[in-house]
Amino acid sequence: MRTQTFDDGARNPASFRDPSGFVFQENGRIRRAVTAYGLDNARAVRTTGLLDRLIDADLLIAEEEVATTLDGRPDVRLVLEHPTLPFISYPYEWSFLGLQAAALLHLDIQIQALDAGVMLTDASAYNIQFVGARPIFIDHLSFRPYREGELWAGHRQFCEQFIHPLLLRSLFGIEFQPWYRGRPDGIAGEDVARLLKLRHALRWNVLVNVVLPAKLQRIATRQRVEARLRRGYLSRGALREMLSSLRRWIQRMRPKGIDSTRWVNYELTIPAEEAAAVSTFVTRFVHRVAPRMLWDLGCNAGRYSEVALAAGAEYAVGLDYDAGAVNKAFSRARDGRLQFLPLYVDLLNPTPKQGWQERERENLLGRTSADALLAIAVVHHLAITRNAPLEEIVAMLTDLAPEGVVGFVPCTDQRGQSLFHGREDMFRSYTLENFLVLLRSRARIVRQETLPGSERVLVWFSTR
Amino acid sequence: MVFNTVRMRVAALLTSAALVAAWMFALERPVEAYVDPGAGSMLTQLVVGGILGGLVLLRAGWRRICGWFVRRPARAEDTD
Repeated sequence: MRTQTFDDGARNPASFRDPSGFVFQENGRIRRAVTAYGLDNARAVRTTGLLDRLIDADLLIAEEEVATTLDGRPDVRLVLEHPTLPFISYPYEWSFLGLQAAALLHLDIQIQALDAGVMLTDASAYNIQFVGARPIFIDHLSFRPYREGELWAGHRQFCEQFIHPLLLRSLFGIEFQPWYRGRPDGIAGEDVARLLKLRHALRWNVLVNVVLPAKLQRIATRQRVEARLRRGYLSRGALREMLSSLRRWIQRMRPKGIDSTRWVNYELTIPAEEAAAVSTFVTRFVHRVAPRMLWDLGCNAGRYSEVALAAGAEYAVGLDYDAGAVNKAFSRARDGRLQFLPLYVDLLNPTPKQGWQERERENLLGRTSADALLAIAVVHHLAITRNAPLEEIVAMLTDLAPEGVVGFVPCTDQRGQSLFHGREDMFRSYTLENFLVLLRSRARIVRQETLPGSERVLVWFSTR
Repeated sequence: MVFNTVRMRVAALLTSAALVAAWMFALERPVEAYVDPGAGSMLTQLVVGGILGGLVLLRAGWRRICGWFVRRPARAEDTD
């Protein structure tokens, strides 16, 4: 095995919590260093064959041992390499169905691990990423041998990062993403407990996963009780039953009110003639540009992302701020096994850098790797509903990707009247002519087409 | 869901109390975790674990008691 030089700047800024190792980037490759502290556990887990089984089942990201030392880090004993993922996303950007799928994956892995005599050291939602709508576990150092009778140390974290956000939506119809984003380590149990009515609290799973931990916290933190808790014993059978029962409960959760968000059924209102014309335009665009990474801004339920993928785009990331539409897009990606990841993002307030030293979680625009974009029906939302200056919208679009298809909806458009009504003050600068002038100042217009049956215009731009 | 009725839950809670106490105070288990497991969560696990453990014991015990009184007929269903 060969040696390599380590530059601490290459360490992933999110990888600092676990003393067993860290992730770093080298020549575009994703590598994981295992420290002397973590080596025994890593070796012991590998002998169980669990990791290989999880990798074969596509539940865990693949690994390859590439070195046993790392120059400049004498504490490192093993270096692994993982395949690169198409896009890194965070739980506060996921749809309800996405977070639910991630929670189920976590439990499936924990149950399989327990059967193999292995335990997960934590229950971080950030240990899960998506490839399309398929969740995959990425942290190989979260595994260590199970110790007979131990408690599930990750339970609280699992509740805060999975169960509580899912409950906000399933019990109350509250969008969990903005709350989660404001508290990236998860939503506190005490906060959720305060929202619960008696009828919620009496449900067995709510009682034992939300109410009791919150209520018992005060008693449990008394010094004498806490000292004894640390010696508590939980049988393996009871732990397994707890995990299985959690799994059944989470699988039954349904997002309340998700079918009545404002834009959830927008796709059904598009006239067939117009949808066909947009699809043809997008198909032609994709054939020529052959994007590896396409961003679909205002993706709604993902119809045109699906068209782009069918035309040959390799991977699509969809962004929309309607929780119902994003959820629908996720089920489209899941059911069609598409290389499409729809995310809950408000373009007027995109995900910022946050976490430790504002470097732990990346901002949305810092993760741009798009070589093409679709913005079929988003400009009028940004310009008219949200008052963003048209010039800055055009600058954002042309900075995001070198090629794109942008739709412009004139203020006289019949279907757009619900947005345009009463916003006449915005119309002076919001004209097709002005839009095209601004676009031409930053890009070349490859193709322009007025859609049949409306005044909507599609423009293909290129800055290449 | 394991406990569907309030009576079952109360019974299970009571059953668990003794087991929880025994486990909490008798056995030694070092907990090693780099995440804070949360004391409330740990105490809850002991209570819930006690209930689940209690249920398993009850189930096993009940079968045994039933076994004393019920004679299993050999192929009785075939003699009609």
